[in-house]
Amino acid sequence: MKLMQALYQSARVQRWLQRRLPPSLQVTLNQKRIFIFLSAEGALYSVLLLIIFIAGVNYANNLVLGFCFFLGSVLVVTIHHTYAHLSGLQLEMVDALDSEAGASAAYRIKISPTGRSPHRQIRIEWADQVQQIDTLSSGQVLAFLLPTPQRGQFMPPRLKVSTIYPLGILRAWSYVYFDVPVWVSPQPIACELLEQGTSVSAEDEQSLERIRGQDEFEGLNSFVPGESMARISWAHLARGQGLLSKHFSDPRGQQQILDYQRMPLSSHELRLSYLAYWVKQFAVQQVAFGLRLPAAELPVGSGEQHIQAALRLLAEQP
Amino acid sequence: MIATAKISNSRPRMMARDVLMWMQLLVIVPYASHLPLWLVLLGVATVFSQWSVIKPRLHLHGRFELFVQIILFVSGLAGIFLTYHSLLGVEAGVSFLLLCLIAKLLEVKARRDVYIVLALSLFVVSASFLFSQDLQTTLLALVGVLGVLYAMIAQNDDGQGRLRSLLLLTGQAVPLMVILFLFFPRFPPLWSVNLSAGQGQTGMSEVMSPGDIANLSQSTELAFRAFFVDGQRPAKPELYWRGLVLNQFDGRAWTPQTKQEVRYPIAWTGRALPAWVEQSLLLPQQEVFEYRVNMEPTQREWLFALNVSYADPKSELGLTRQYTLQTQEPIRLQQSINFVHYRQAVLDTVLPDDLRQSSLQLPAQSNPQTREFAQALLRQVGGDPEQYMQAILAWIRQQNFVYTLQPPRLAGQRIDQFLFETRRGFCEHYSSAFTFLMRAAGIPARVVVGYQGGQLGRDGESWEVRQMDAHAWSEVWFPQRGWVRIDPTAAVAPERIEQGMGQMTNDATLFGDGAAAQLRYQQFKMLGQAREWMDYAGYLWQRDVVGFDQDKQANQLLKWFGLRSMTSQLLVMFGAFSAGVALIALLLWWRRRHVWHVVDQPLIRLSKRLQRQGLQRLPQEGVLWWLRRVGNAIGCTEYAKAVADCYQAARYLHADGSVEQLQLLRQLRQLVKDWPNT
Repeated sequence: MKLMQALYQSARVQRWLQRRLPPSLQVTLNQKRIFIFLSAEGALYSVLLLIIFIAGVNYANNLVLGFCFFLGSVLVVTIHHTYAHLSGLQLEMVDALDSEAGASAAYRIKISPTGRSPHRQIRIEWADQVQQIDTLSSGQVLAFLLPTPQRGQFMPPRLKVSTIYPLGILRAWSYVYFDVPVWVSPQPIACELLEQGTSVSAEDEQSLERIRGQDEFEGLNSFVPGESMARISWAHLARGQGLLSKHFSDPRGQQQILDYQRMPLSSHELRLSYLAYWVKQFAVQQVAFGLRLPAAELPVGSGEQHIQAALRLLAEQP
Repeated sequence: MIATAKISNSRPRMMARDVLMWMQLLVIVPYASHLPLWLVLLGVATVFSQWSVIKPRLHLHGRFELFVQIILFVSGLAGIFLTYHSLLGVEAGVSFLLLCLIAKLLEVKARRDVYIVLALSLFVVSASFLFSQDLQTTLLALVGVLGVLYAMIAQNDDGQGRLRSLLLLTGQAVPLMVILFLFFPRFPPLWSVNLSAGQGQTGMSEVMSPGDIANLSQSTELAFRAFFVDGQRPAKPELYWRGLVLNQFDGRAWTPQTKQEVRYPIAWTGRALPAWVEQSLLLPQQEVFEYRVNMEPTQREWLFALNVSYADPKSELGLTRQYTLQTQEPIRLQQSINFVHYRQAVLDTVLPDDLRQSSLQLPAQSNPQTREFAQALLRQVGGDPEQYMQAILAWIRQQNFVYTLQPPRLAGQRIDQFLFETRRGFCEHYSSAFTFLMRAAGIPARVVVGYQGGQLGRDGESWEVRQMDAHAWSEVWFPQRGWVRIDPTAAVAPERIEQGMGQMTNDATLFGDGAAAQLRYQQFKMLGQAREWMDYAGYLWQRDVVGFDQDKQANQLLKWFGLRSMTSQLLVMFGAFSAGVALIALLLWWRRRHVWHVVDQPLIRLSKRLQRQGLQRLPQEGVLWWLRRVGNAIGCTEYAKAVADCYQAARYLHADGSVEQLQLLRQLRQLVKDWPNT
């Protein structure tokens, strides 16, 4: 077993598998993709066949031989049945969401039969997750949470789909390489934010100028106790539409520039983690922010898209 | 693996483990007829104890469970040793195997254990053929193996469609098995094996004690089948199948002569023949013919052959000094033997003294009335042995002796009792009393047991002899004439010999009087019919399947297929097997293939045609989109649009199978056919 595993891990085998099973978005399992071999139980069964065969020959007992031939034929027939339960199965990538280091990326795949007969006992192993489908007669969407330990681009590992139905003595399996990477942002790590002070460079002034124009009314939310009275939209209240508070995209004085250089002195990854922490903090506090990294820059902004863009930028850092 | 999600739509079902256990009953119970009953009962009890309803209530956990398992195994081992006094041999070996299976049933926890049990039980099922290869055993083994495979499927599914899967698998495996069975070359054994002495014995016993049994069982079980060359079979009254000679009488039972081989070694075929064989059998103008006998297993060495037979030098048979035949090993499986019959044999014109003495032996002071009667009759005929014998037979005929299968029991001076009081009995009584009367008069005589008669088999060529044809007669020695066969039963019931036992038992009175006897008679008749058919099926099974050996394969099958060499035989086997497998694969593919809507089919054809230009429909591409793309690519947008419109209407506008749809479909086909630029 160990040897087999080592063999699987070896670079050459991996390359061969990659060549044989090119990554894609959608795969229909066929002859070229399906492997089939005896399972451990099947090895036991084969040893049994051999013993019965020797007994049959030695006792010159036709019925023992016939019994052995029957069990052997069952084995051969089972090869085709086990194969048939995997063959024609279609796996398709539905979508995938970005993740952060230490968390999991959510992948959804759709598995569906292309023929009329249902596929039985389909087992899908992906990273450390296993899902088993007893009977698959129509398309099903399965969600997997694949752990993403590291920041950067995450390529999903190969997915193994297999079945041992009906007798458990043979295992048919195939690997699917989905060519759908996601970006993994740094794991947020809390730190003190150094005072931004007044050291806003001329460039910054300009960018601030620019976004000052955007300092506009964004929308109305229902009033939450604790919010400033100044935000209440009196006009709406007067019209009898209840307490609503006005929100502005770039509340003045609450915009921040997150500068890589101004993070506490530490490693590259740690600094990115600090930045990620503050991006998340500002997202919660609804503070507009910009991002300044050694090789990239994100103008000040806010909103869900802006936050995702910031996190993506952090993920993409070399 | 951390998370295992199960997407299941199954209904409540029997636990896979319970299925495994219950199916073990199909494996264990059929052994009740071959192995000690206690072992089988132990197996059944173990299965019950492992049932999910009972097991939790037994509170067997951890070390205690292991303890129980060890106790069971060790005591089972001891039991087997006490039963067979050995752990070798087939019975003990298979008992051991069964015990292993039973002990393993106690620790079925992981999937690995389950498969060990499954493999062991398949092995146990296959071992049943070492005991018997008849039709019943085969059917029971078939049920067993189906049960085990069913349990195997149950380990891997959600409880649905098990029977369907089982029947599909086995149904497709059977033709492949037949191909392998027919063509697989039969090899000689890899090493010699010794099967131990059998326990179960049917058929004739070595001891004959008339008066012990009050009811002779009328078993229609087949004893053997004989095959004669056309026209050589002697008439039915002449068909005396010699089995054993019983020479010693202790007043109760007749038994074979002991320790005779020391003085008179058995004359094995192929060795130098002793003088007595040459003198008795190899006479000038001897008429001989060959015939073949298919012996059913008897677990004994001795054979049944026409009075008197020997064998050709190739077969390893031995002729005893009493002209009975035997093999070197007990007959454990059906065996075919070739005999040579010597019609004019004269046995022992000169009788050595020791043989003479042993053929006159009688227990001292037994049956005084009979002795007196013998002496008186001998004086009456003037001391002439032949006349004396005729007088005895005449006396039996004249007195009111009755032939019956339900004679009264005898005790004490049995011969006296029979000859002068009860006068009711069957062949054993008559041959025993007659032999006694001969010896009492100083004439060497002995009892011969075997079979008499038989009947033509259902196939019209074989001659069937059944257990109910068992018979006992006498041999009397006269100077010059040697041993002469005398059947005293014929004196009292000539129809027994003329028509055979099968006809005799048509007479209901033979079964005794009263309603119970009538019922027995009716049962016998009905069973007889069913039995005959079963026997015939069993016979065909034995002849064509069990007996399908190297010779039959070479002479019948391979000749029929015109195969000369082992290579061609193997090639045909692999070819036929592969063809069978391919057929199954095709069947599976056909059932799983993608089925297109009837309206889609013309477009599939079109896509194939456009493949040359690289314009085939891509897997994810919608039909309408594809048609537009193709139309743009080859500059026939209008035509492509017409096809698309027609397709759309045919596919979605009307119900499937409607006349309108059919019309549109025809139109679509035409459009595809007239596709420009192809």
